[in-house]
Amino acid sequence: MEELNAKSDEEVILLTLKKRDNFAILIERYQARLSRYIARLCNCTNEDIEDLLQEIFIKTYRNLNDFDRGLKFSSWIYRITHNEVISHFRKSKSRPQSVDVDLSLIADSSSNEFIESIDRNIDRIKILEVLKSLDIRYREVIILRFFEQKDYSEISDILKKPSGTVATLLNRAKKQFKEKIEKNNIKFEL
Amino acid sequence: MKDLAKTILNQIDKKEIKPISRGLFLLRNFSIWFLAILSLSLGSVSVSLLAYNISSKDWDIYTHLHESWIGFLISSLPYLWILITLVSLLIAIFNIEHSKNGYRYSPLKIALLSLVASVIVGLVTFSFGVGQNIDNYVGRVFPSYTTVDSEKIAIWSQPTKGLFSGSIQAVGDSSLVVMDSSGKKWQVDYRNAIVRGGTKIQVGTEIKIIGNNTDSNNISASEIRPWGSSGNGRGFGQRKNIE
Repeated sequence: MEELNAKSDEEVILLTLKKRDNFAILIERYQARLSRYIARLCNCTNEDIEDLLQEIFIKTYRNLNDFDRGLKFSSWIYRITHNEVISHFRKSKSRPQSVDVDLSLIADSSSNEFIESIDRNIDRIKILEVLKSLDIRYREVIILRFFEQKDYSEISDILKKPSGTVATLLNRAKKQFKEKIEKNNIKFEL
Repeated sequence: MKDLAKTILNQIDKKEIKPISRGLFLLRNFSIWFLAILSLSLGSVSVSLLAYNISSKDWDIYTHLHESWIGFLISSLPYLWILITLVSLLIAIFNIEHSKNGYRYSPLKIALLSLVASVIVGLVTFSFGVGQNIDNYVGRVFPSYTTVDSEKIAIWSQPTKGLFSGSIQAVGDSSLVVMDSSGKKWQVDYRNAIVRGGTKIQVGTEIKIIGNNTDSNNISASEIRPWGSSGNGRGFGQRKNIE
């Protein structure tokens, strides 16, 4: 098992195609990261997140042969996750939502400048609430760039948008985020 | 959440889920590119036909054909081929955008590149006569389709507007015998005519004439120009029914 854990995602895919059980390695590698990503992206309950994760991993397994070696596996699985969340978001938009989100899931992240600056500046929950109030297309780029620490090329692969569009979206997202922060009298800088 | 891997593997087992075969994905990608290339090819052919259509118009004599240049333009544009070009381009753009890496390029860039590619290939094929051949072929297959030739013959068979056309049957010092598309022979006085485009005044040459018919068989020509730039004959007088 240790030997398998040392293998790259792409190598594990090849091994999974030979032996189904190897897929567990990819699930274990990504379940925590994807849980946080989903929680940040949508107003989902913990149960929703678990259901979504199951759908995402099964979809990933079913489409393993479609994996493009020119991409990072993480970009590909984030893309599948993004699509599933958006699809879930659309389906549930008309339904009244009772949100029961574990905020620690959202806020708990590998430290980066963004998070550290939140800690330094102000109540992180308030910031996250502002983030949740952003348009979904702005929220997703902010999350991918500052929470998931993806570069422009990876965000382009995940959202299936040209890099130039990603840059434009990110600029607009930062602007909207800043406006909302100021409106709520929160002192914070991206 | 701890046993997520186990739960998922159990589900995969229970529902007998298997990875979709690589062949299916390859087929899907191939279909997308096939459709894109097919649409681009159709777009190029349409551009070739557009070029043939536009180059065959006598833009400089619109005053004989229409009251205004705009009116002439509106009545002359090959709308069918413009529509086919646009639809082909849209299908090509849609398919390229939905190809595996199509999202990396902006839709505008894809649209411009597709347009430029269609125009270049269209113009090259037009220069080899593809537009003309396809126009004639479509005219044979679909009798209701008005070919460039038949439209041109209709335009250049209007004695009341001073527009004539036909094949030179005999050449004299001051006059020609020209047979039109209906097989009628005209005596053409060309002493005062401007001969344009290096028209060879010799038997067999197909020409367009601007002038006046002095009586039912005689024309006084003010201008003579070649029938077409490609030099391909229309076979005046050989067709029983041009329209």
